[in-house]
Amino acid sequence: MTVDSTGEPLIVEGLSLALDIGGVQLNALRDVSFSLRPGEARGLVGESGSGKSLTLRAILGLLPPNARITSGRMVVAGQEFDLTRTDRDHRRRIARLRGAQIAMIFQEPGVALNPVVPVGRQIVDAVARRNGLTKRAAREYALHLMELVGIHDAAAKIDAYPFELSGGLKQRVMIAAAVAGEPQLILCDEPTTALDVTVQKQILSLFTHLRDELHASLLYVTHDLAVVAQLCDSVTVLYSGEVMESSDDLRAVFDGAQHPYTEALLHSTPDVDRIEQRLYSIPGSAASLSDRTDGCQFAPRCEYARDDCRTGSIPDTSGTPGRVVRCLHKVGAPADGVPVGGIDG
Amino acid sequence: MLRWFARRLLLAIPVVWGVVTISFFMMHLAPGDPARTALGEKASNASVAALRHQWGLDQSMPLQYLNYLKQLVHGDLGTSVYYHAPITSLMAQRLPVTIILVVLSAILTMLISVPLASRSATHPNGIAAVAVRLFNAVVQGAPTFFIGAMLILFLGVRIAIFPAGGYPADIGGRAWALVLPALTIALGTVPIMVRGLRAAMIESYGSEYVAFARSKGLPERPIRYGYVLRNAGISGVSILGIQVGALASGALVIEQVFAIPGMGSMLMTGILNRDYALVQACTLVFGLLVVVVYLGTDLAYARLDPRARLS
Repeated sequence: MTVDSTGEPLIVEGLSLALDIGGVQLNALRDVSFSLRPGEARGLVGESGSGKSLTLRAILGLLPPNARITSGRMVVAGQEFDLTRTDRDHRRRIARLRGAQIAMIFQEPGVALNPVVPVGRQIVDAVARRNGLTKRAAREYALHLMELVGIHDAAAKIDAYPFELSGGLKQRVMIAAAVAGEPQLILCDEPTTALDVTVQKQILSLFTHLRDELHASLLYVTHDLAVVAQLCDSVTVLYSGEVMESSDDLRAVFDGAQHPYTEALLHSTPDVDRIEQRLYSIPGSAASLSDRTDGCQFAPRCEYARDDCRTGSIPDTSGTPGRVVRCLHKVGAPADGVPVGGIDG
Repeated sequence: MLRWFARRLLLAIPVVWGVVTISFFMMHLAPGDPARTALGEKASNASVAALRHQWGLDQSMPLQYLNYLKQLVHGDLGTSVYYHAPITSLMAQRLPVTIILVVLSAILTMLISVPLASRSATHPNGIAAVAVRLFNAVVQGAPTFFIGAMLILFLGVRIAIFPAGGYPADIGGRAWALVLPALTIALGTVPIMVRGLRAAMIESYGSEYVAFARSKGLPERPIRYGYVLRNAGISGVSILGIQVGALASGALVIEQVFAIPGMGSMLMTGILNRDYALVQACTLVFGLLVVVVYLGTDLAYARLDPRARLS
């Protein structure tokens, strides 16, 4: 199956999700929307606990049992899904996407592979079953995929167990397994976080290479803006389960962040050209799930925040197509150009 | 592999020696006199003393112990004073019955536990899960001989599918006669096995490797067999290995309830009649059995878990 030229590989609209923690329903995601064009790589950026991984798992229908989607719809290659549904038919439709349309690469290769099955078999088990490959054809295909992801002595590694391979090799195995079904979209859940820096670099260039080779779109979750800059075309910034800023053009955000949170995030990224005594860090820490309130979630830590930031829901104020900025007091906007708190009062 | 096996066998020697020594002294230090028991209350002191001398019981205990060890090293288990027969030939008749009973109960344990654990892991609030909880409470609260008696009452007498006891001569009848006692023994182990397996399966279902398998589009059935049971089976095997001791001691009691002529009934007879050699031989054989089972468990473990194969 191929995507028709107009169909986006993924549209997510208004995704909200609640987690049941000790009988209390807590909003983990609120009104999250984004989309990907064919071949696009979008970075999904945020701190831990911002809901990045939950977003990916919601797309694949792999949420933990205490999670419940309260609103949201999704379109994958022309097929529409009401994400709030939990019936059998819906679950089957979502399950059919996995591996064939959408694949996912997990954060920790050390725990995401079955410890008692040789890696070669894990790369092709799903696709061999789906396409009815013979044992020999499956093995050939596994070898081919292992070479594709840069495992040089594939024949020697194909029968190895995960514990016999290094972290970087295990991550390559997982990537091979994810691309085995030739998906249009690959979800990446911080795939380099658990790896050391040199291996991280190799894996990143593998992603760049695979994007060209497979013409797949990437939704790349990370907390590392440097990775986004290297790999992605567009970016969506999440904070405490809400989209703060989003842009189809990555440069627009990197050159002119409009949301105070994005600005702060960019500011706190180390840069070799910018020699400073200390790296900037955002004051305070991200609110826990139970402390989420009305208004902008970032307001308690924001130096631009005013009273109006703390009530209601914050609208998109960007005014530019392909860009979302959910902020009432944007960075770079004429200071106090908008009357705040009543000028005539 | 061969070296590993040889080392394990060497390590078993002190274990077996410990079993032999403890059973020897426990038996000899316990009150009661085999000669008096054999001859009866009315026998004269002189004839009892003569018999004690004939059996070597008038020697000092360390000397008796050394003689016993010497005899064992030559492969001689001694003679039963109660059955008036060499113990090795008694063993040859009785041991297979008990081994078959223990193996059968191990198989039944797995046949009952795996589906129950698997069902209650995937449906934690389903009927199977509730039934397992209830069943566990009942079975763990009731002694095995009681459960055995109840099974006899319902499946042996009320609806007489199985014989209520005894051990017929023909092979088919024997197999049929072993089902109820094996089931009784198995039911004592099932709660432990179900709980261990279910916990391992729930953990496996929540693991990242199962989430990743799902994200690849692998259907639930191969995930259950190739991923969840394959991993949970490793703890299943170690639980079964540990429980074989319990299965064997269950067999001792249950053979009495069902009148099965195995090791258990022989051991009981030996204890009641102060037949030192017989009791010691039975303990030794049970000890050996457990050592062999542990060895088998380790082999199976290495077979199932590639990470355990290195050492």
